[in-house]
Amino acid sequence: MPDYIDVSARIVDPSDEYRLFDLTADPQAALAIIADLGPRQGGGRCVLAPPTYYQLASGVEDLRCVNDFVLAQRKPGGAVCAAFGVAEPKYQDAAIAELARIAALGARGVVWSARAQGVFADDALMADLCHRAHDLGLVSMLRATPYSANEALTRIWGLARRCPDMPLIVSGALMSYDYAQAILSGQGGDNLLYDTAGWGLASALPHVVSALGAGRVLFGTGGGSPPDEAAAGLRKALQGAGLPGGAVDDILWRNAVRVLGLDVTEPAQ
Amino acid sequence: MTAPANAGIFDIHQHVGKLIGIPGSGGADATLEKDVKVRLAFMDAFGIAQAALMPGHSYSSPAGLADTRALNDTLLACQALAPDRFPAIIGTVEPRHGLKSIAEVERLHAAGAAGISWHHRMQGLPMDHPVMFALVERMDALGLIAMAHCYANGDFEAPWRLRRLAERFPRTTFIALDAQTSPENLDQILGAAEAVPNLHLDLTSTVLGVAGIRACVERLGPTRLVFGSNYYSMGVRTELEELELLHAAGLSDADTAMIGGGNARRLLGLDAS
Repeated sequence: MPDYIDVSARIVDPSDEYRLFDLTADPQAALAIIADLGPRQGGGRCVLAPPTYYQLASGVEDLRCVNDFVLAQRKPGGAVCAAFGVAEPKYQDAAIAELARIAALGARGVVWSARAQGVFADDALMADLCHRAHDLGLVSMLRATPYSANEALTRIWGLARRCPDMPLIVSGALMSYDYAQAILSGQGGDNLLYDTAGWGLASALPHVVSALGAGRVLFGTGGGSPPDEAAAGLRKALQGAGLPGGAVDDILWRNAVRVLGLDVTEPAQ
Repeated sequence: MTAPANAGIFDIHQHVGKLIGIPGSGGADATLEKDVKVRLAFMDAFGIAQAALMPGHSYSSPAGLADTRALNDTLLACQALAPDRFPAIIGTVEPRHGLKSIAEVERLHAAGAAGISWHHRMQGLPMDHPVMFALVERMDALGLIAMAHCYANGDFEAPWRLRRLAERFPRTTFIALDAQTSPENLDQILGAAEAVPNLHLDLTSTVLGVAGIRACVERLGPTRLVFGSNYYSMGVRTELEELELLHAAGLSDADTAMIGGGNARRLLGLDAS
């Protein structure tokens, strides 16, 4: 079994959050980031996620290139055990077609970033796309950048109410003290799971896990930082907070296996 | 009653099209002819003589640049149906298309557009992204104006981001749209505009009443504020608050005339004719 599964191993330039990747013209830049920031100790796995910002001058052709690149990084028994794809909500019918295509190619989910995609997370268009993704077996992961109006936590909660019958993973919300407080207040739907990307609030950790339950928190880095260190730090913090070992493993990897339907029985290479 | 062209109220903030992915957004599909007919009826009802046209900034573009070109061509076709009433076109280019958008900046300039507009929270990159600096650098060389929405809490379209652009290109005219959407946001844009003389703002979407207009005039003078309606295709408007507030602000007739139309024509280079 893995030591951890990073559910949000996003391709991101650590020195430039807004780097506009061009995976058609320059895939090497993304490959270098994956090589630098992937699991190193052999026991960790990650679910690779596309960059948040990628150029779209050729529209759906560029989108397909992003998805093909990310899905091609999966290796049986390798560190990248699965991948999320991406679709552009405003492409509408073409977005739906791309969801079907990445599902057929074996993507485990789809990442939405309302902020980068120029929509609002609670719009009916987003709810429809999440339903379509769910019908295709794709789990939706939603970025929740603090202080963004487009992907504000309240909007994601609104989306969750429109999609009550499916799990939705929220990535990055716990990097914000205010968001952690809002989650602690008990708002949001039971179908929401939160990753630990950007989590620097160790003192809030037991409270959040207690409020949500260990089954709704997943280890994730959000990309841009070494997962081995982040996982070790999280394990130490969870154990220090008195969580039983089973709950720690749930957060570090078992929830990811359950929610994303991962097969991690092959030994890591 | 039809307002006379080349004088009177100038509306610098009209959108052609509708928005997608935005809850409660305005606009509806229509043929160009019907769009222009309904738009002119709206303008006549409120005594608006002329308007600048820009697109809705949340649209489907699965073909990438080709879709953006088609969107801009729609503006030009709309203008051609009533050129005296729509003397200025403000197109758009997509920051997410990267530097390939520069070709569309050049094409728009060659087609006679007066500027480029953005609504960054609908277009997926920050207003001060390196791509934006490259785009505005080309616009600066071509003499195109830049119109950027600065909606309150807009994140990617925050006033401080616009200030960075406007400071870098002091020859280029920048107009901040929707900036009077919260007291805090207005304070931020006024602070930026006090430091950057090529930065102007419009009245659109104001939630601040006459106090917002007076604050602008007190801190920037009457030459830096322009009227805009935020009209979208097939919109139904029974009131035009921005215009009512302008007339209720207690400004001199000369200042009211500048904000109502004179400033916009000057900034767009339309006052020489």
